[in-house]
Amino acid sequence: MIVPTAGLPTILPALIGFILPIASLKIKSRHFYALTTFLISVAVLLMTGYNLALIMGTPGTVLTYAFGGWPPPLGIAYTIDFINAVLGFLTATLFTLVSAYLFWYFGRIESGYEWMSTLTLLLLSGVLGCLYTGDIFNFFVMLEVLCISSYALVAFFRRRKWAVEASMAYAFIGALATTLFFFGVVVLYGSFGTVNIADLVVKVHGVPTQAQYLSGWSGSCESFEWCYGNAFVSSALAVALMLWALNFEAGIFPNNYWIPSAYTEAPTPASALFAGIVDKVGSYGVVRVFFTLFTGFGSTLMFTFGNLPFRDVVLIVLGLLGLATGYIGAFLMIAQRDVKRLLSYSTISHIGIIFTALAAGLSRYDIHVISLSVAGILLHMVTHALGESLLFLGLGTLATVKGSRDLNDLTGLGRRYPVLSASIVLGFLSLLGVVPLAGFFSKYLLFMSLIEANLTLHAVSIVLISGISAIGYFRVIYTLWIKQASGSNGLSGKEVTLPSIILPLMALMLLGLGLTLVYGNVLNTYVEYVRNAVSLEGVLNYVKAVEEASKILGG
Amino acid sequence: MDIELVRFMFLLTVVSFYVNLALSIYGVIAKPNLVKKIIALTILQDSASIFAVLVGYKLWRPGLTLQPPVLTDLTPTSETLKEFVLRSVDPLPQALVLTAIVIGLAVTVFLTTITLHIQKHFGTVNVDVIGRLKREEVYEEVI
Repeated sequence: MIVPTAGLPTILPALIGFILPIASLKIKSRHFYALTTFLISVAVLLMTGYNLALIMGTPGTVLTYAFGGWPPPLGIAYTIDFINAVLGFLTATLFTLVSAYLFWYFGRIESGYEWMSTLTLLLLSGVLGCLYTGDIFNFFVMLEVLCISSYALVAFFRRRKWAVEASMAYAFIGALATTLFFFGVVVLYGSFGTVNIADLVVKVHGVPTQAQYLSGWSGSCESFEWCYGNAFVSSALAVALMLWALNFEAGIFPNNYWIPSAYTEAPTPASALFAGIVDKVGSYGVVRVFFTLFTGFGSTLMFTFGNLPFRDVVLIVLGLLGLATGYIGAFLMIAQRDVKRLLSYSTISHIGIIFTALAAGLSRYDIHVISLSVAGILLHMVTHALGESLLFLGLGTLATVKGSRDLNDLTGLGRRYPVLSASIVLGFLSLLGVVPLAGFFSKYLLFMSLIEANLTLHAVSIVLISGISAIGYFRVIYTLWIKQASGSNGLSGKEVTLPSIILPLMALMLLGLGLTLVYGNVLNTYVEYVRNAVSLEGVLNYVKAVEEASKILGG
Repeated sequence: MDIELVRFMFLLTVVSFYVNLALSIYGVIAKPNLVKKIIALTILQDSASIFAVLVGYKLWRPGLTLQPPVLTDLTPTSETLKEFVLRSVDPLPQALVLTAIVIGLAVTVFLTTITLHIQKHFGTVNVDVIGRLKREEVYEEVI
């Protein structure tokens, strides 16, 4: 189905984002910039919500939008199935909440409102572009939009030397990673003659008869002979190059060194967005590469390596790296005194948990296990995004009010700001996986998929990592609520009205999501939706939708 | 010019591309000086662009006149199109390279700016010195 709401959410924020710096010549009011960001986010929220509603309405729907009216393999086609519809809606929700928070935050910084609004809107455009795109080269372009706006947001306080240093550490290796991603895209193009994901799916599975219309534009490679060079080697090389860029964005073990500094030094709203959605883009890319593009249903990556298919070897390694990341993040978190640094280590450990579940996506498992694992990954992305953003906003607000990020300086603030701190506690409990909150159900799905795949060690590790994280989480809760502050805290007259509305809202979302999932058959229905996206029929649906658009537009 | 020479030149380009790639990745990771890192990174971006153009390459044979992918005939018939496809190189990698160059410009401008700020704050662009300072000022205080 061709819908304009698939393409518009990416274009709109970028367009307005580029107009704002020009507007800053005339308009100085900080409320104008916060309001513009908020309104655009709400518009994007409505459009992404409409997309999600369409997909939830009829199972197996895939939405497309072709830019410029070019039939898909020729032009850029945005393709939305259940996985990226959910993540797109999550993105818009987070951006709406954070841009509402900007009204309060702009009162706390002296200048640079227009730049922060511009960068936030460009970040929204980049994230949604990465999620919605059905074109691997466009993914690279949008990844660059996302990365450049993130580098700039990290260095937003350019008078603080450690902010500039964090941005430098992120930007140099980030630029290296994205350039190698481009290299991987060119390798794919060189050997398959297309950059459209649906078209690539047809070609890497060697089934050109499934989509003759697409192959009519870009040629076909029957039995991999038409293609340039060795299709197996080039697939492996392209995946190797692209995976590094994706793992760097996600912050998986060898590439996680930049996360703590960058998330700590960025302005609080930006940190909330980074921890919430920007690092999920890397995880989403990995899911897209391994469950739509190079699937276990006989793609070119399934050649034998050792005595396992190569794709499964990669997934096993990713799972192990995820485990290592989870433990490293959890252990390092305990020692932190800077609250934002503590939260960034918590983010690292949760991304590690997400990657651990990739080990249950091997081709030899039943489709039920695979869909359980992808459903767990997707749900954990959602619950972690909401929980971690809530914590970054909440503790960031307290740190801004107090003027210090040191945990000891926040002693006793729980009784001073009860609503804010109660939401923070709920956020921590959700990340920990306490029953009525949404975080429990995502961890439960991850755990079940690993148990059903007979990976007991991985499954137990998820529980262990949660247990280790609990020490760090409860330290913060203890400091906020129970520990006695010495002397007066000197905070009279610092109002936090707006954060005290936004944060309980996010906590309620976590609670509401959890209560919905506990009710009746919702969890099974959700897994069924994911199964419709990652099964063989789901992948074929993805291709068929793009071919349909190609037929309509190509005449 | 004969076909052997063309093949040799092609091989030379491919080999020098790989050498460039290895050298520039080494430069970005191992050189402590930020300016040298930027230089290595631009070399890497250009190498990737060269590789993309190389992918759209069409092997020259005696008697074949290659042409840029520009269609001069405004109302082409299917014969002229067929002829055009035989002679022209693949235009898509060139379009990709154009986009990548523009993005590379944005990244380089950003990296240069951030290097200027680093120089203002720390008085040096050597990441080893900055890293030592960071361990002293940020981490030892934290752990």
